This record gives sequence, structure tokens and C-alpha cells, in this order.
Amino acid sequence: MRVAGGRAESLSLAAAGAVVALLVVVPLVAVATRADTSSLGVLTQGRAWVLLGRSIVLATSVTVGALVIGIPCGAVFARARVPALRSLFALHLAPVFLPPFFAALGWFHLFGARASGSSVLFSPAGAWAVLTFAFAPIVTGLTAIGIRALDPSLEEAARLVARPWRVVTRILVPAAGRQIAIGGLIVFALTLGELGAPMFLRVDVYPAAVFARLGGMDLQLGEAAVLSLPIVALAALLVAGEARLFGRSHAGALTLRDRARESLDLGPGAHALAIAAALVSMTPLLVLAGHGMREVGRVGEWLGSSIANGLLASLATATVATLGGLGLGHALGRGRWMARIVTTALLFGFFVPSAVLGVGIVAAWNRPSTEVVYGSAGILVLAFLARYSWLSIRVIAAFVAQRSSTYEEAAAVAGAGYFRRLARVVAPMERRGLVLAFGLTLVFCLRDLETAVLLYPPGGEPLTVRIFTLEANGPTRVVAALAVVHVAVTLAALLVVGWGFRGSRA
Amino acid sequence: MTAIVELEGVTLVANGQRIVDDISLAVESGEVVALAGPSGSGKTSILRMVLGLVAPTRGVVRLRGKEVSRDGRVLVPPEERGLAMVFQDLALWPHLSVLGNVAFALETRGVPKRDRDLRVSVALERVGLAGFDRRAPATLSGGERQRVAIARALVAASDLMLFDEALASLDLAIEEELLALLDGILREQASAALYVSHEPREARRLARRIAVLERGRLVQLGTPSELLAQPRTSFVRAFSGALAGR
Ligand SMILES: Nc1ncnc2c1ncn2[C@@H]1O[C@H](COP(=O)(O)OP(=O)(O)OP(=O)(O)O)[C@@H](O)[C@H]1O
Ligand SMILES: [Mg+2]
Repeated sequence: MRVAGGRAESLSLAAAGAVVALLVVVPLVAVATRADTSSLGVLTQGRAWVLLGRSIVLATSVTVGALVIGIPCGAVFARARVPALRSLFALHLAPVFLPPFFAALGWFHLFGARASGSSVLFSPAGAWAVLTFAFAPIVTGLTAIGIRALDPSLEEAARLVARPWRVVTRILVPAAGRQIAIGGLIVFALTLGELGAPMFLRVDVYPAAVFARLGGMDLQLGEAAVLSLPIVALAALLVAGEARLFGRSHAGALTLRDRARESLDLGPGAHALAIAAALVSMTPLLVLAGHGMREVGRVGEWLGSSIANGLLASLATATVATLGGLGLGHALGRGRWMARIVTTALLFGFFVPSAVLGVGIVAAWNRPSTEVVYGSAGILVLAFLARYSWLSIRVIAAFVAQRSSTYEEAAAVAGAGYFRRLARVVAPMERRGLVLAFGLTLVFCLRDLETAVLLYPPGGEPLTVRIFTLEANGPTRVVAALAVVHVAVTLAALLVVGWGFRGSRA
Repeated sequence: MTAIVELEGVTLVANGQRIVDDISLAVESGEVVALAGPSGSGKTSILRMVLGLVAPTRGVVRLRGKEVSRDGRVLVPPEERGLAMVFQDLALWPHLSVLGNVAFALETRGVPKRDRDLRVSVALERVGLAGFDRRAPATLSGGERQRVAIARALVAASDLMLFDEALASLDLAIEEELLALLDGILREQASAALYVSHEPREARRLARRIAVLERGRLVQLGTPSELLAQPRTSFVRAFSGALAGR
């Protein structure tokens, strides 16, 4: 039996659908309508298609690289018997929580000073390497989640006949294939939308061309909109891919169970791999820190209110995304079709490059009647919600889906209505999921550059944008020092969330 | 006649708790011994130590006369022990077909494809699943899944098979059918077996001797009639009473 949601649930989902339509669908439609015929000329220029091709090649090759690195690393971090495994894993994961152009800056200070190094770094190959190392931990993390969620006996049954590495390659990795594929999709989408690192490395990519149409003195909205159309089409393919992976009934595919078991002896190679993975992640950050350390005391005048700007918008977004995500994630986890549609719309927000979403938001909101929103930090929150609330809904849905619905049924029998069940049964039971959803959304907003750089209100730029704009003409040590401050802020946010997660152990 | 598997003073401690407490037990080759006992008495833990999935905290495990685990150390890893097991939850690999599940062990041993296919189809035929090769585990009924798990253990052609509640949660008719199947297979292969079960019916049908565990200790070991004649605990009395009853 499944508790009929009743009117209250249907109305809430409809309301959520309307909000999401405003956030994602209206901007994307606005892109299409602004793409007037007079601007269609940009698409007939070979240049646009060269850029698009380059972006797709970059995204594909970064995805392949991230899978090649991330899958074995994920298996090692999930199952190997290696000293200090958890710490090495945490260090390896660090880049996920930071904008990739930080890594680009770090590699620049390490290699770029010499002519030979800089000619490699400032090239498509350099951008590929920087982004691959920056995004591989996403695949690592999802591979590890997938493998750790497997039933331990699947692994034990294989160990009776196969050596540990063969158990990994033939049983664990294929059985976690769905989570790994989701990791690949996310890396592809993030690379496709990535603006900061390629622009810093002087590699022309498609989002940069869209961005250039908006960033200049004159707003060439029509051309930017036309340039966005092919990428929206590409995003539709990604959305279809995601739908296939999750399927109709697999809201739990990102399940976060963690089954206790003995670790596998994967040999000394595993130890070496874990150390190398942590080093590759940490090297650019440490170099950057070393470069900026002396200036950290003097960044005050450069910071302005940028920390508060970013934190406030991110906190507001994470709060709304978690509260809304409770209702939507619950409905998705219980397989409601309305929730599936709303989540798919939000998935567009995540997969469409920020530059394109930004074009749509500018087109939809930049008018006198909505100046209150467009001119304030509210526009950042709207854009962040459009882009990142998919994450929180997915996480909450995964938690809900793995919990039997009998708890809610018992509450319904006891007379609790929809909202009461959500507040008194679902929310407290899934508080770990809520904390995790909050934390992920918060950190993804904090690390955001692409969305914010297009839309920040006057005087309201977050720290990532401040660093990115200073990087073009500011003192390099100050830029590095500001990056260190950003890392510290993110780390503090992660520690608070991690503490909340621990405290909410069910 | 040497024992195929021998536990000597085996103790397993986890979280400061004695899960298995100083157990000594030997199974002759070709002999089927049932492990019975209340839930949580340590039955699965004993199988896991025989398989090498955990090391006994103290004591020795010998397989075919050779030490394979001793005092907190696994000396021979599971994949080199040449054992076959039917897991309590079956553990069919979801990403592999029926064929893939059954063939995996042979593939790992490097059995050539032609030979492999033949042995897999013989095994599937033996458990009554001829023609099921391409099916995914998720599409099978409970009884069919059980048969795949049995075929997967069968194809390994081990001289010692382990069963952990292999026939639990099946309806009586299918359980009876699979019991007959297992009995036949164990006789044909002349395999020894350790057979964990709650069900006196299964123990009586398959095993010559029954080992009864309670709270990690081996409280009694003997033939069904010995247990019935002189039960040492109330659990043994109830269990062997049920043995005789049906
Ligand atoms: N890795 C472990 N850590 C801590 N306790 C464990 C571990 N493995 C098993 N136990 C405990 O040891 C006891 C015996 O477990 P075991 O699974 O061997 O029992 P069992 O006889 O197979 O029970 P059942 O009939 O319910 O399957 C149980 O209390 C169990 O909770
Ligand atoms: Mg058991």
C-alpha cells in the first residue's frame, strides 16, 4: 500500500511545479524567444560551430579522463585496506568543493612561470588536464558511494572464486555502474558549462562566447540567445541520459547506505594510488596557498563584502532548496509522477551551462517591473535555486526511497495529514539526508562562479567572482591569498555541515 | 580418513563480544553436517571463517589437512580455498545474466569458453533451469533465483559446499523439491557439506550429524537419534523433537 497523498500533497506539488517553471522553464523559453531571426546569423558563422565542437570535445575528453582516474580511485577508497584511507579520500575530494579555476591558478604558479610549462598549460591540452584532475574526484566519490551501497554478500560470493582486483573489476565496478554513469554525466555537464578555468587558460569555449556577448558594454542578448540554442539541445540529451539511468523506479540509485565489512587487500598499488590521488588534488591548492600566504593578513581591503554576499545567497539558497526539497524529494522518492516532471525541469537547470541559464534569466527578469529582484541579491538566489536545487531533491529522494513507507502509513492511520507527516515523520527520520542536501547545495553555491559572474547585483559580487575579476589585472599574491580565504570559508561550512551530519545519526 | 574441514579451538570476538566461543568440529569428506541453533548463535560466522572471509580471533581452521587460518590471520585467501557457497540472501550479481553468474567462477579459473558453456548448461539443466541463460536475476521468481544460486555453487565442483539457510523463505512444495535436488547433487558429487538451517526438516533430510550451537558454543554434536535420546539443552530437545515429529 502507499499512502494516497491526498489533495494537500497534489496542491503542494503543483505549487512547487509553478515555482520551478518560473525558475527554469521561463528563462529557457525566454532564451528561445529572444533568439530572433536577425541574430540567427551568428550560427551561420563557422566560428560558433568550431567553438561548440571544441566544447563538446573538451567535455567528452574530460569525462573520459575523469572516469579513467575516478573509477579505480573510487574502488580503492571504497574498499582497500590502506592506512589513513579516510584522510587521503578527504584530501582527494577537496577540488569538488572549489571552483576549478583555483586549480588552474595553482598549476600556473607551479608550471606556468617557465615558458615550456606555460605553453602546455595555456592550451586545450592544459585545460583538459586541469579540468580532468579537478573533476575526477566527482567520479571517485560516486563510484565509492555506489560500491559501498552494494550488498556485502555480492562481494563475498565473488571472493570465493576471484582475486581482490578481479572482484573489483568484474563485480563491484559493474554493479555500481549506474552511479558511475551519473558521475560521468555530471562531469560532462560541469565541463560543458565551465567558464573560469578555460578563460584563465585562454582556451576559447562555447560558454565563453555566450558570456562575451553579455559581458561587453552592449548587451547582445539576441546573439547570446541564438548561441545558447545548440547547448540547450545538448542539455536535453543529457537529461534523457539521466532519465534512462534512474529509470522509472530507481529514485534510490544514489542510495547512501554504507554496509560495514572487512576491507579488501588490493596490494601496494592501492596505497600508491590513494596517495597519488590525494597529492594530485592537493598540489595546486598547496602551491596557491604558498603563493598567497604572506598576503592573507592584508586581504581585508580587497574582500569588501564579498564573503557575506556569497555566504548569504548560498545560505538562503540551501535553506529554500532543503525545505522545498523535503516535499519534492519525498514525492520523488515515493515515485510520484508530478515530482518526476518537476525534477526533470530542475535537471535542465543543472545541465544547461550557467552562461545559457544566465542569458535566460537576464532575458526574463531584466525589465522595469521586476527590477526589485533583478537589482538585488534575490536574483542570485533565484539563479542558484534554478541551477542547484536538483542536487538537494535527488539526495533527499535517495534517503526517502530506501526507507519503508510503512512509517508514513502508520502516521496516516494515526490521523496525521500530509504536512504533519512530512514535518513529524519524514523530516526527523531523514534528517541526515536533509543535512547532506543542505550542505551539498551550500557548497555548490559557494563554489559557483559561472552563474554569479553573469548576474551579481551592483556591489554584490561573491568572493569567487571577486577573485576571478581580480585575477585578470590584480596582484597575483593577493589573488592567491583571496583564494586561500575562500578555501577557509568553504572548509568552515563543510565542518559545520559535517558536524551536523554526525549529530543527526539516525 | 582425513577431515575435509577441521575447526580447532576456534573463537571469534567482535566488538568485545564472543560470537563464536572455542569450537572444535571436524567434517569428514563426503559427510554432510547440519549447523543448527537459535538466531544469533554464530552459525553464519562459522561459515565465514571456513571461507576465509574473516579470521578466527583464536584457533585454527584446516582444510583438507592444511592450515588455512590461525590466530587472527587468514593464511589462505578465500579465492584459493576452492569452496562453494549458497548465501542466505543468494547474492546473485545483478549486472550479470544467469549464465554470467554461473560461469564467473569458471571464467576466473581460465576454463576455455567451449568447456565452460558446456559445464554451465549441464549445471543449469541439473537445477531445472535449462534455457534461462540470458535472463537477468531480477526477472526470476524466488525459487528460480535459489536454483541459480545452487547452480553457481554446483558448477564450482567443490569437495566442500556450504549452505547458509539456502532454502529459507520458500513455500513448502518448492522447499521439498529443492531439498531433493540438493540431496541428489551432494550424493552425485560425493561432496561434503556444512548446512546451516533453522529447519529440523532440512537437517534430517540432508545431514548425517547435527551440530547445535547456542550463544557461540557447540552444545551438542551427534546423529538425530543421539540428539533425541539425550538432549543436553531445552533447545536441542525442541529441535530434535521436531526432527522426530515429522
Ligand atoms: N562483524 C560483526 N561485528 C559485530 N557483531 C557481529 C558481527 N558479525 C556477527 N555479529 C554478531 O554475532 C552474532 C552471531 O552472528 P551470526 O550471523 O553468526 O548468527 P547466526 O547464527 O547466523 O544467526 P541467524 O540465524 O540469525 O542468521 C550476532 O549477535 C551478530 O549480531
Ligand atoms: Mg546467519
